Amino acid sequence: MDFNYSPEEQTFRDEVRAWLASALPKGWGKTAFEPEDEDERAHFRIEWERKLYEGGWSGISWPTKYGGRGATLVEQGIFAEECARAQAPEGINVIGRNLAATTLMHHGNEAQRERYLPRILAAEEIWCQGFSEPNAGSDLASARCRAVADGDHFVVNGQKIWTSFAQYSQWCILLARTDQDVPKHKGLSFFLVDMKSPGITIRPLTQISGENEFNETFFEDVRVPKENLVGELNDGWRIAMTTLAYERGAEDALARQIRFKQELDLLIAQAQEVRLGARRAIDDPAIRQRLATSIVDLELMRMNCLREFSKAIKGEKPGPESSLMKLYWSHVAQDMADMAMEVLGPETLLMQGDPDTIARGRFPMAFMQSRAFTIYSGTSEIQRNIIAERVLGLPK
Amino acid sequence: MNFDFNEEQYMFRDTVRDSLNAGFPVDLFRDGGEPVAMEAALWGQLAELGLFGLMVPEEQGGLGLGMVDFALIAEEFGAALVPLTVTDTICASLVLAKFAASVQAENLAKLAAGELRVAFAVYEKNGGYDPADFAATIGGDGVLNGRKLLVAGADRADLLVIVARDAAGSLALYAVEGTRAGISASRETALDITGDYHSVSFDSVSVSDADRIGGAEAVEFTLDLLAAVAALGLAGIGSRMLDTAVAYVKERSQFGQPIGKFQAIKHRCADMAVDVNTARSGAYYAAWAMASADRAERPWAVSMAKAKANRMAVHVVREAVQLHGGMGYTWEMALHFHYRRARHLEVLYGSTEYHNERVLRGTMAQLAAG
Repeated sequence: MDFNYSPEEQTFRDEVRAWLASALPKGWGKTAFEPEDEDERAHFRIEWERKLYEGGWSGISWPTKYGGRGATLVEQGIFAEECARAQAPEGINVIGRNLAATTLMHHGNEAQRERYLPRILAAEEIWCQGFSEPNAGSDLASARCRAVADGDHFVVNGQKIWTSFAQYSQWCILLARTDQDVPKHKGLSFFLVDMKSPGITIRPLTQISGENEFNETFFEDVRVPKENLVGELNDGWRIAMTTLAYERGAEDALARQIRFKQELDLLIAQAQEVRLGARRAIDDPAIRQRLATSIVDLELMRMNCLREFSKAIKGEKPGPESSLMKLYWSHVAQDMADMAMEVLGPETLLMQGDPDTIARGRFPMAFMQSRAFTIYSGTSEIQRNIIAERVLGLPK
Repeated sequence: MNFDFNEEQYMFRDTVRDSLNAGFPVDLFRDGGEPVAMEAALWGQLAELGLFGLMVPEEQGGLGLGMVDFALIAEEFGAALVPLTVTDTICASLVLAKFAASVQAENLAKLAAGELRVAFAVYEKNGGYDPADFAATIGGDGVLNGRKLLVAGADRADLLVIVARDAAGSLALYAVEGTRAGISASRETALDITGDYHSVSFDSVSVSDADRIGGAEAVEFTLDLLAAVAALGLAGIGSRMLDTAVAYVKERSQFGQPIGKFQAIKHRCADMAVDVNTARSGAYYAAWAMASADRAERPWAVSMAKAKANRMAVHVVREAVQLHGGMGYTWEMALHFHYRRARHLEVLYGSTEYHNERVLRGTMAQLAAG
């Protein structure tokens, strides 16, 4: 056990830090921010991902033959930490890098890896995820979107929902039914679908935060070439479990932890500024306890991630244990977002425009956004089922 | 960067676990075992495994290992309800070796051989958790006066390690043999009945410079160490209670099926597992911090670990009792021994609120430093 970084890792950190300082706009995070408009922001983020790629910072721990850097997971973690420290923009191709690519590395064939992975890294192709359906949310295996073989193609018909970034995506990882006559888990297959294919319609959904990140996606006689099937026919459920383990896993959580910690640091800074009448918020013992609870919870989120990372470095694959992390962080982050609304007084409610607005309205926005944490990539109830049945071995 | 134990550390843990399962099952408490007699039998068993010498330097016949090597063992000690006389003695080896190795060489050699019992005399009535508020004091005449509470096995301790204010008014740590004139121990009835606890009166006890282990730094280190080891012990208790509850709900049948098939039960078990996993992360980090972190990070890490372990243990042990239904409330089921020990470790070595405050101060200092 060793929490110290080697001289090589330290050098790597210095390089990342120096590059970020030169690549980000002047005054970044202080006077310069991301565009307010959602669409402009999405394009700004795509540009940023391309810049990262050109700088050689995409796919730190990916094999070099797919355009990665071939570095260690520790260096991947250092990179994520430094990006967060510099408040660098988040990428928009998260689904491409973390889900589509990792799934292809495990289950794709060599032709698929060579075709898709380098373009994911280069942010030339953005990806979305076609898993959930209106009637297949927590019960994902009951998905009804169908893919029927027709010569060299499959023909897809059906509807997906909560497809984040579909409006910016060139490709989609799609879970579709290829056999109606077997138990539901055994008749699904995993496809790569070109979003420019005729027959795809995207309709934006407005979230409670007012944002339009996700969509409904309709497939009508969409033709998908047979070479876009990942793995074996009807083996899609098992493949999707790999995707979900990464979605819930340590790498994803570590990057989130850093962003959450920045929010908490910002909150602690504001608590030292804001007065609640006679005293500063930070001088109220009850508020101090609440802040401390969030600090403990968030720091231990990092420790959970690092323990998982160390297992991954030893070669262990992510499994149902990733649900322990997802269930933990989603509630911790939600608690923090709730708490942020309750410790800074009435001006916390201002979102923009008024000179008394705190931190550009960040806390009320985060509060609204945080409701999604315990729903996406498997609700807390589903995570609890997974932990109980697949980690603790309780009967189904 | 590597946050995992090595193969040897896991293997040693397994050896200790097997030995405790065989020689020190919780049934002994249930069946009316007397803790002092049980401890006497256990002592030789642990000495044979070389556990007392784990952190004693090799020059004094120990293994010369550190807190990270002890971490998984401390967790097992918690799970098995090993008496705190054992953890006190092992913790003392680290304190004596770190701050007074040459003066304490003879004691360290005895300790490594399992021939020396040490008890920490730290907490006091009205003293809270911050040693700055402790009242035990050595006067200008070199005599110690004060009263310490909840000292494990104080009546037979060869050495008492005491937190007191020295003649100059500074916090200091002293080690005094238990038989010295003016020391009297009386056994208390405490919540935790898996060990024996005593209040110890120091009535004009002569103390010399040779008894001094160190100043404020030694006191801080000792209290951090005790809290870190308590956090590890709580992680062990949580883990054992989770395993016990999961095994029970797989067996217990109601409405024609194992109750572990009901989601109301499954979800509670899942939440317990999340809590135990996270408390472990914190406790392991604290163990590393005791061995390797600087004087700023160490208390921050330890307090995070202890605050989380406190919250986890209260939650997990309470749930374990609940999931056993009426049986959980019976003496026979023996869950209450863990419940008692969990509260003991939680309340004695720093409340959640105390440790939270230390965490916040540490974080604010880090933020101010940039």
